[in-house]
Amino acid sequence: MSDMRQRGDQPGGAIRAADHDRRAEILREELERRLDFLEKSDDSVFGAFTTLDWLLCTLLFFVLPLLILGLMAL
Amino acid sequence: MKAPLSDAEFVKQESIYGRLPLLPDEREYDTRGAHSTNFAFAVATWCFLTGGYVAQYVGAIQGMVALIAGSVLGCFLTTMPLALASQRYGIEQIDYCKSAFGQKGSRILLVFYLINQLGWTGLILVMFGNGVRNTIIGLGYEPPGWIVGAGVAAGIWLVYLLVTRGIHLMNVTNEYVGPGLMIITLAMLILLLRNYGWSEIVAAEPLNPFEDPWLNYVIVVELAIAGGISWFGGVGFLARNTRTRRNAVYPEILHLGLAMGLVCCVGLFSSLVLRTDDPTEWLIPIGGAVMGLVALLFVGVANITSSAISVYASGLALRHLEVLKVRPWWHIVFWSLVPCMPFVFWPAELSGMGSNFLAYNGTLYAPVVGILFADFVFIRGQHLNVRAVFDDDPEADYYYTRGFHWPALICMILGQVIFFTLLDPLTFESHYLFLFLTASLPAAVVPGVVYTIWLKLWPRERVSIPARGEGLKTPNI
Repeated sequence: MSDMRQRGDQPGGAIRAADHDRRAEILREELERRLDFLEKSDDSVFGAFTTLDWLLCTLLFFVLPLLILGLMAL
Repeated sequence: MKAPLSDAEFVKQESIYGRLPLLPDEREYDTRGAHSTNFAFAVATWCFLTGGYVAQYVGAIQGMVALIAGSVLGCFLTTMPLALASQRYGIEQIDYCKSAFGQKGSRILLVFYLINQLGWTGLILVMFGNGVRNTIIGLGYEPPGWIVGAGVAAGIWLVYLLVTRGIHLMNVTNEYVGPGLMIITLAMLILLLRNYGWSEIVAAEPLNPFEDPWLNYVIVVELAIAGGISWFGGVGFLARNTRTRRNAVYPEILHLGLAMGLVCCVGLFSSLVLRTDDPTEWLIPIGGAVMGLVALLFVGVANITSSAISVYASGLALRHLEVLKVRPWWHIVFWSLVPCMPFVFWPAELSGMGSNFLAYNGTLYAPVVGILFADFVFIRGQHLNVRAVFDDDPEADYYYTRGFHWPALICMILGQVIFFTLLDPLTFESHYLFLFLTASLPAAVVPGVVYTIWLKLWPRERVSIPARGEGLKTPNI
């Protein structure tokens, strides 16, 4: 009972600050866990994007539009 | 009263709405999801606005070619580095930019990002205000002059309500708005072709061109490239949520570049034959009294949801600022909307500068995109030190010099000088070379090349290379 009263008497700001600190700690731990995973994972976990993809994208989405824009000008 | 979140729920919220890197099993978009989400993003009311701006300068054929090719090209430049990096590491774009610009340097990009998002929000809200005016006219009444400004104010209030009620409500409304807008676009195109015919559309003269036809064409190419590049604000967010790298890249370019260009063409054709660049003025003449009015009301709703997405994204970006990290969400939404207030008082004047704003997006982003491309592809070999992204320690890899990476920042200024030398985005006064090079392309390519040469000649000495598993010294999450 006295413990409850004690907590009830605590200013709300202090409780909020303690909660905020705890949440910040959780966030930091979670960030560390995720960074470990991302660093240890091979690129293949995130799907392939090969030289052929680069070539295709560059030709279709950069070179071809440039050619079309240039041809339109002629 | 809401129950407090459990720790697990808190972590989940922080990964979806915060800055925690997303792990593969948390990502929402498979191939189908990536295509449909990108499509929904691409088909928005700003496409009608862009089509209207282009109609000022060129006819249907030139405009169509320039809009499609230009926007694909611009989208390619912005997508490749941002999508590949954000997808691989599950991070959002401002975090990714730290690798090239530094922990504090990336906040400069945050300013650009906010200008872009809030500028579009203001323009779309004016379209909403114009829609209110034209709906009243369509119902047979004569609205007072201030009605557009009042409509903008009402739009700001509706956006505030929508954004403060959270992402779920926005997702629900967008589930209906995206497909509905596509149906309206297709219906408008069919009615346009039936009522006017392709030959009349092709023969229609531009609304308010400059004397030199070649200059008009290059301005439109410039606007289209800038439109593609201005997806800078969205591509990282979308890519972060995809499961494979191909799903991050191909749907973005195909929808945000190609599909957006195609939908802009409907706005262009309509503006040309109906001689107005305001989409809310051509909906009733094309659709007829009833269908046009329904379409107008629907576009009004779409304007609010499009604006809500922009404001929501701006709010998330503002979380990067220390002072706003812990503020309540409604504070952030409120401050995001304050810069839109001038649109209440000067709607016609500010919306009249829409094409200048679109060109200005190229000024802001083209050098940034060029540097990011060079940095990610030619300097880093498509790999980041993801730990350094979240480390504010002065010895961390991406802290550079007091938080700024000067080679990137100097190259960015160089790109902006090049842009302004070639084209003044406010007056469209141009240099002779603009007619052959455009402004965005050299403003992206030259800084990228200079940055690459700079870092190849004088590679940076790493102050600290964190070992795998070594804890962050000063986490900035």
